[in-house]
Amino acid sequence: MLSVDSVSASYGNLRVLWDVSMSAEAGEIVSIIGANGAGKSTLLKSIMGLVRTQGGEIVFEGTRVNGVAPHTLVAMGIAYVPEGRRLFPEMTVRENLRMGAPRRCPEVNERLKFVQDLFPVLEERRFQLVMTLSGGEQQMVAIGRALMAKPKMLLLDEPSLGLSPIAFEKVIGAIEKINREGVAVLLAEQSSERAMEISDRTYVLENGRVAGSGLSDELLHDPMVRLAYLGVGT
Amino acid sequence: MALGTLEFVQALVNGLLQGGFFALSAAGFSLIFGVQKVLNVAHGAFIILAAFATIQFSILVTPALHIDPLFSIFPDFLMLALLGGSVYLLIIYRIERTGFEAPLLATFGLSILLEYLASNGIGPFPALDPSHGIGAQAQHQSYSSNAFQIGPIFLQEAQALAFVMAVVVLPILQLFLSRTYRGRAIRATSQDWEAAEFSGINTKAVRLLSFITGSALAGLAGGLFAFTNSVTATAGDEVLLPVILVVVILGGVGSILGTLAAGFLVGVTMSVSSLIALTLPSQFQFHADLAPLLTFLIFIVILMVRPRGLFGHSAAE
Ligand SMILES: Nc1ncnc2c1ncn2[C@@H]1O[C@H](COP(=O)(O)OP(=O)(O)OP(=O)(O)O)[C@@H](O)[C@H]1O
Ligand SMILES: [Mg+2]
Repeated sequence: MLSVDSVSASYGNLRVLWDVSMSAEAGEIVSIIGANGAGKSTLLKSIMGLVRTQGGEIVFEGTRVNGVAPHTLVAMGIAYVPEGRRLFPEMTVRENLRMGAPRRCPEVNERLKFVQDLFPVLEERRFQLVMTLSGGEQQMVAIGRALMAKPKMLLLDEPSLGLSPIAFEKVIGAIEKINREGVAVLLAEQSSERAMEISDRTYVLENGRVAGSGLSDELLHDPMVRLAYLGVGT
Repeated sequence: MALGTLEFVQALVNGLLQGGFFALSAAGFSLIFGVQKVLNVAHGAFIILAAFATIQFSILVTPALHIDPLFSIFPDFLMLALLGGSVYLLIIYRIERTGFEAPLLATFGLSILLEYLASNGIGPFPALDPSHGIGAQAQHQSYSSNAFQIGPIFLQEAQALAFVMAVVVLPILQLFLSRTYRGRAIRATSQDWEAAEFSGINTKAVRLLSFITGSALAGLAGGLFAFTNSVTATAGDEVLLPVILVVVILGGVGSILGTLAAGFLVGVTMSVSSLIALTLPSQFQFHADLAPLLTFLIFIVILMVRPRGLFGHSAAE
């Protein structure tokens, strides 16, 4: 469904991604783990067209998408939940959600209902400005806004950021539910263990390179991965 | 001379009418700055261009069609919309991502160019005596000085029209921004353009739309300016732009209703303070030219209390 083939990216002179290759198939949850600054966010931004890539190719459902504008990617079926949520602060919950759907959208009410069934608290808060919400509620709005595009694939960057373990568990539950509806998920996470537990496959990023990849179940029991990313011995 | 109630009320009314024009002039600037952080310092020159075009149209076209010269405002509105769209696509779009300096310099250059053309009667600028507005044209003389009376209060017709336009058009614009998808897309882009883009909004189209709308508002203001003031080539920068900046900052950048309120406040302050300047006891009397000082004083005091202007900083409410 999505394949990234030896893609590099830089900020100015600083090269951040080096020949990264990865893929995600329909119906999969794929996690990307790595230390701070490993390049997880940059990889997602490259896919989303927010960072210019150098060399290589990004292909989504058979179409080369390097250099395609983000709003076009959304229309093609990729939605993105950025690190730090990036909601429209002076809009209400409902308005934020609405902005995720296209202008002409006959099924906008069904999509709203889907999001509100997933996160019932958003229904109660619908007329509240998003900046008055808790971190967990804001994360729900960010995910909900992305789902309003009815994506085939959802990119999630660090959804655990600033959330309590309980709030994060709710988000994890929602991600699994979204995936059961047939949406492929690409999940970049520092909380590697939970990400790996719910994902089918995992890529390990180290200093902008893919240092390892495989079935999440196997990597979870790999002593090297456990030591480096899960902070535990054998 | 004592300050009579009637004079005071007349000054108040004049100020409100003038304030409506200020609000119309400032709204487009505020919208463009709010949405794309572009300071279009050519906005004053746009208004003057529109004023010249209105004069031209009212000389050449409306008499032939036997329609009221006021209809000149409409083609002029469209012309400025077109100009705004072209300026955005040809110039601003290519440089706006680099920060706010490049668009500032580019629009500054554009205003100098327009002023040069205007003072030399080149292109769209009619080679009429530039120190006169439409009032100078014999066939419209009666129009410009048309006034009507409500009780003892005099209202100049074109000024009243500017007031009516402001209180009708600006709330409609506000409704557009808060109630329609496109309007919300404009607000979303102004709050976080990148987030708007990855939420599926074509932010280039949104910026184009906001630039066109802002410029069309300059067209409206310019058309009305032609009917109410003497139009000179440099009035855009010397007279209009300073007032526009005060109104925009006072009203809160990007807030359309704030701009409307601030326009009234500035208009009333200016007219009442020039009245006061003339009626103070002789030892305190100051020259009427100093009246703007009072406006700026009030401006500074308000900004000290509310740094983001009267109405916050967004078009959201
Ligand atoms: N806008 C930017 N300008 C310059 N350098 C940047 C920018 N964004 C990221 N970087 C650098 O690129 C590298 C990779 O950053 P990135 O955000 O992709 O890492 P990450 O894996 O997401 O880290 P984290 O887990 O902390 O979110 C870092 O060294 C970072 O300093
Ligand atoms: Mg990151």
